[in-house]
Amino acid sequence: MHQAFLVYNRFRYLKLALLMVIAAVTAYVWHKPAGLPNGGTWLGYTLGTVGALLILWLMWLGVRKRRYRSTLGTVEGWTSAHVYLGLALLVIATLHTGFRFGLNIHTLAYALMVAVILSGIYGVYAYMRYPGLMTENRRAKALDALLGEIAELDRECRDAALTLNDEINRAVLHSSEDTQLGGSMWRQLSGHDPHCATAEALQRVQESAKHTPPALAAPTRRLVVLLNRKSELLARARKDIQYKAYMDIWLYVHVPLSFALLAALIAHIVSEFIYW
Amino acid sequence: MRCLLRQLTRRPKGVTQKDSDLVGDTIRIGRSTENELYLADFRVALHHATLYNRPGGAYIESGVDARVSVNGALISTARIVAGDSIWLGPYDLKVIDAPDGYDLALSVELVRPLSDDLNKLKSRTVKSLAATGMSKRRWAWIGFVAVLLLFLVLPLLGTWNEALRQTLTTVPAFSERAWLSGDFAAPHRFFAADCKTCHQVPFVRVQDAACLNCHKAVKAHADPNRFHFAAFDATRCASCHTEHQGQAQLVRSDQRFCANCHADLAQKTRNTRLLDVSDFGRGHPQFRPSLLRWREGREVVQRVSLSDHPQEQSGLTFSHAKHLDPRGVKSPKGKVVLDCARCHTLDPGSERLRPIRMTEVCAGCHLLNFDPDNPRRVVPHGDVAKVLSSLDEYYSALALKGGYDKHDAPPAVRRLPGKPLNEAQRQEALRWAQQMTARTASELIDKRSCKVCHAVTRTPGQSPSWRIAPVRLANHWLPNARFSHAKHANTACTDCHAARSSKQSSDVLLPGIGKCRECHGSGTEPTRLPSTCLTCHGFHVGKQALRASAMDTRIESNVLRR
Repeated sequence: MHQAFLVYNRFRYLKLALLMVIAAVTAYVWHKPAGLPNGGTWLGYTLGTVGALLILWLMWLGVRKRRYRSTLGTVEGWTSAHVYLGLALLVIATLHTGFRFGLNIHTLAYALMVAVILSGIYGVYAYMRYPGLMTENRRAKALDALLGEIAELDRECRDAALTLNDEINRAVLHSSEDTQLGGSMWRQLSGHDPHCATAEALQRVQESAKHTPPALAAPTRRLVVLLNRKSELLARARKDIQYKAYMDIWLYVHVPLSFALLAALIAHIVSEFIYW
Repeated sequence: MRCLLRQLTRRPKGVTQKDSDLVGDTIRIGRSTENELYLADFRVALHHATLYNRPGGAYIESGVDARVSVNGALISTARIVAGDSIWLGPYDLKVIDAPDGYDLALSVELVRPLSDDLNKLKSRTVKSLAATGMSKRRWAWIGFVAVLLLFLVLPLLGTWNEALRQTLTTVPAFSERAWLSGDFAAPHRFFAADCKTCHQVPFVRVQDAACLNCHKAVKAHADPNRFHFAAFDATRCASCHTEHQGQAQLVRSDQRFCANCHADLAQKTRNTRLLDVSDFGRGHPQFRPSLLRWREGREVVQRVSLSDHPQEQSGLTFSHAKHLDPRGVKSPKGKVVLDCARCHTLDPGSERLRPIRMTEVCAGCHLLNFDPDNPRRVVPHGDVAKVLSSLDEYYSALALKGGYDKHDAPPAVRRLPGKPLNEAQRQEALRWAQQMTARTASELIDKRSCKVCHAVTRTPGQSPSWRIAPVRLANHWLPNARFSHAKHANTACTDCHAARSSKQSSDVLLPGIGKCRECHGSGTEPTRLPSTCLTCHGFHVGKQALRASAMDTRIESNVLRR
């Protein structure tokens, strides 16, 4: 189960997070500060301190998961807590703001935090959805096995094309030499290659098949079958790379924004107290 | 079935072979180790094919989604005999003659080892985002450093270097402006550009001294010597006056703030004569107007609750009812119908009513004239001695001038004007003038004018022998409360003040708290105007300066001060 961290220890951290949220909301409703609610009341300072400590702790997951020898809880437990306490942070920090926003470093820190949490929510979704789809898509084979099959088909295609004309041979060579998988971030995320060499080769072979003498019809048909199969495997491999990219891309938002948030948090706290 | 397996391996020096036995009802071929014939190559499916014996020979069956060809033709099931060549992934299986005791014999050879095609394909494959060279770490550093630099380091440098600060102000996002947590209250905007006007010392909360730089005249809430509460000492200006929350928040208006002490003030101090108050709608005592009294030879202020039916002791005789008679009231110009505004006008500040002055308000009707032959001539108002002296001067002048053509006047006064008086005539004229003065004064004071409004007593033998009771009207019944008549101008005066039915000047025409509560209530009542303590009362109402010591505690900073 890729989402075992969600049910970890019978939702221990979900319960903890709910408890924190309920406590924070209750305190916020009960608290009647002088003036508008804001981060500078005693409750504001309390929620802010809890929120800042949560942010530091949540970021510590990045350290903990690299410490393979650590015995301080399991990575699964940490991830479970990371997810639920991260969601609780959204409520706690929002209450800390007292719903007062503006064009300033304080709201920037909040916005970065929201962006980090939203990307994290997407991450949880990706971890729940894509591993299953990936296994299904690859029919339980590894990506390298797919690549091996594709390479094998390349050889078969070349064998099959041996008796056919030069144009077809060039197309087959183009297919086996120039077909690319994955590529840039956008290419990986799109899951297909608009200039796929194999698709182009298939089209050229099918074009020239119209003028093929009857004697060569059988090997041509065989080549078309092989290229079609290769295209299908390529599509599957590209889908696999796409799913993997879906599972990875959010971290490229989540992690850098977390550090931007850390900087904004420092600026927020220092500026708040330097002009207390 | 029992099958002989001959594994061939080609080496540069020749072919090596290794025989082994495979036994089972069926013989499975595949990549998985649970197969009887285990072919470790990814091009082979987990369960690629199955061999089995049937009467008539051996058969091969292709697995699901696997490709098996016999003698070059893709098959799903095929009978195999010696000499057949089976392609299975990269392997070539040849059916050879089975020795005795074997149902089948196969030679297996990896004829298509992984070609360079695969390595080339792998080199053209970028199968993860990490492989594109994207780096979370790099972007994390960029984000961290950029935010810290732009929103903390740059503004901080600006606090040390004025030139830099001015430059940064042109890009507000990267100056101290980015630190502003909210709008300024309007009165503070004119100096708001410089944070240090108030935030004088870094990492120290705004000190009262910063506020008192401008707000020098602010008074204490109560005499600190008589009412010494710890809360007063611990409270900073900014505890109540919160900045950066826009206009509405600069002054606290929540009554809880006041009620904290005033709800049970008597429990907290013995020095007070104030009654407990917690909430205008439900916990406020009846109004206690301040009335002027004469006690032991001096004027004192006495507060009497409206519940105790206070009586004004103004020394006046006045009926509001008579003056507001809808049929009109007598005046020199005939009957006139009066309304409140005829006599009561707002002072220029529109808070209070202007004090009633007889000469401005009453004298239009209540003429102080005394000589029907000279109706425009009036006596001065406010001083009996001046009245008498005025009458004396008037009649003496008439007597001296002569020609006063009245039958009861003596001949000396009726003589031709300008004719000189002898001694006897002068005495006669003087006597007449004195008689007229005394008679007119008595008429004016005792009957026609003064007595109408004032309590008059007469003490023969004293000079002057009349005494007009002093007028004692408080100019403000509730001096510790703010009430704006202007704001209530949409309401008729008599909606609150029972003037139409008031016949005695002793009536206190202040409406009770119940009248206010018809419209005003505490914040929790949905149908009432929320009215907190500060709606009517002030906080800094003491006579003493606000913590005099605070004025001297100017905090000097050598860190951020420019």
